[in-house]
Amino acid sequence: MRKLSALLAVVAILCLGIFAAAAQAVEWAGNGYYLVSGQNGFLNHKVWLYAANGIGEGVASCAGIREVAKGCAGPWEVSGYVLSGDVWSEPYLHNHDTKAGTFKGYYYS
Amino acid sequence: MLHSSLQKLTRRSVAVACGLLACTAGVALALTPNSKGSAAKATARSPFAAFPALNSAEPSGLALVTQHGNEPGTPSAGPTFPATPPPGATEDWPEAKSIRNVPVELPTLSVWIAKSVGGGLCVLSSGHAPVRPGVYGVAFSCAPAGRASAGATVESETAGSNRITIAGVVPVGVSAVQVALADGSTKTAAVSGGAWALEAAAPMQSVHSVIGG
Repeated sequence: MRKLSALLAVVAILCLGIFAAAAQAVEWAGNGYYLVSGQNGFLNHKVWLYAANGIGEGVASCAGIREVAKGCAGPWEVSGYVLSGDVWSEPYLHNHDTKAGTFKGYYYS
Repeated sequence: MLHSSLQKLTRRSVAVACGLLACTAGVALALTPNSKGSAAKATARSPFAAFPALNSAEPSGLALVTQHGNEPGTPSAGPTFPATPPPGATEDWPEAKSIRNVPVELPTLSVWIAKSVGGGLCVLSSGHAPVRPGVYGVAFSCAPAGRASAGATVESETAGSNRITIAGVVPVGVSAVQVALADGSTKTAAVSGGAWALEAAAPMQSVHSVIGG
């Protein structure tokens, strides 16, 4: 009985953890994520998501949802795109500048 | 004897240091303007003073939702935006309660201005057509607090479309903007109510504000 209770507690904690992780922003690009001018960078696998945003560190950036749409902004400005519902796709970043640079990217599900 | 001399010397040093500190404080107080003046200056320097649309009492027309990420396949009637920033969102995320609609001359686009959670300035835009069946999108851009006084510009592009929309909010006094495009051409958009928008066939490279008429 005690073992069963412990097992149920572990399962409940895991479920809560998964739920909390799903509600959080996921930083999928960072730590010097580098793109040359005009290059796209993708998460490389599909997820359920409704928003993506990002920032170009000194370069113009676009943050978008692949095969849906993107929003673009200038250097050190946050760009993003928010949908009215979840889609099965992947977030991506685009170097919208004439020079190479580093980026941070996030998605929300 | 020696101990006593050292004590005297230390006391004298402390007295001299205190005297100098008191003098410095006195001079600083004399040079500092009164607190009322400082407050007035701080208010005048607010980057949002040049964006009166932020004070509008009109409904924004952008539906705010507490539970974002609808069940897949559940259609929506128009664009929506999270009523609160998603947990872990960057601080340059539009603050939902400050979102205000701004009129633009492009009939296929709605544009909004907002403060960002981190004290910057944001512009949001949404085409009137869904980006997928039953799904609408809002593009946004937020300038950090230190650059908010210059305005903000967002470019958006829907997959499979060869039309790009560019929209922006500018401070009071700007009458038009000149947008240089990646194909070498330049487009001019008139500013109305502190906002502008245009459609282009090529991405934007830079925006220049035209001051006055």
